[in-house]
Amino acid sequence: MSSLKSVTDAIASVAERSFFAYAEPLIAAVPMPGDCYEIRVAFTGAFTGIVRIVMPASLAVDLCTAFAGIEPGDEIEPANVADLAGEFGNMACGTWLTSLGESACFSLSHPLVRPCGDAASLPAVMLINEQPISVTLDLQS
Amino acid sequence: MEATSPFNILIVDDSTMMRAMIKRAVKLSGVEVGTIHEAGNGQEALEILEQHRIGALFTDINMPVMTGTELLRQVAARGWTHIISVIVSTDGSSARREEVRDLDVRLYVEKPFAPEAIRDVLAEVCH
Repeated sequence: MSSLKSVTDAIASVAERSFFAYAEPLIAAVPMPGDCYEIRVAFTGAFTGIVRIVMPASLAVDLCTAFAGIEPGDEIEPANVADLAGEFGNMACGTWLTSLGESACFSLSHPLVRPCGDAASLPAVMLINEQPISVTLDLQS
Repeated sequence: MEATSPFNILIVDDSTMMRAMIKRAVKLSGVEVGTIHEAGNGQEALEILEQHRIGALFTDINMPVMTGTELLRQVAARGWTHIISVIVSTDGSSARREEVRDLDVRLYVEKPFAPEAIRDVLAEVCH
């Protein structure tokens, strides 16, 4: 099994490789904004758990814009933002699990994405494009 | 089935945006292809495969309703050997690659990928 650090490393890798974003560790405490998306990806395999990523809604829009090659300022469907936030979580979770080199296959659930208006109390663990994101890893077995 | 056989492509992924990204990468590749079809899961993909002549199938693994692995099993069971199968998945583990080894998968692209990866895949499967 692995630590939260390896999950955040995977998130940074995905952000930089596919979303043209800049990821950096958190040096000082940064508050989470109230308007966020929560992304949950459950996995089963050699072990079972859930990766939960909470990111500012503005960051989700930035990532969607960069990924899809949309011009800044152009209108983006909220459904597309949520879809891509889920795909971001899926890629991060898959990259992390692949990095572990386990001998058994993992199955990932369809990402669950929901607006999260109560993220202000969550601890940020890293920055992407200078915006805080919160990550939790819930290992169940 | 269509009378003529341009190199049609089917992209299978439960993410609308990921399908759009792959489609864009295909168009940017400069490789001449026919119609680009899309499906949100393996079941939808099978329905398209039964109606259209598809040259290359780009499929995700983890999808609701029917996974990419099951889709490839169905393709093999139907004897559609003319279809070139390419997996595009976050799961690049050796265990997963081993699982699909017998399903005639030509190439395996790990997400996240650069658009050039799709171009390289197309260049290989179109020749």
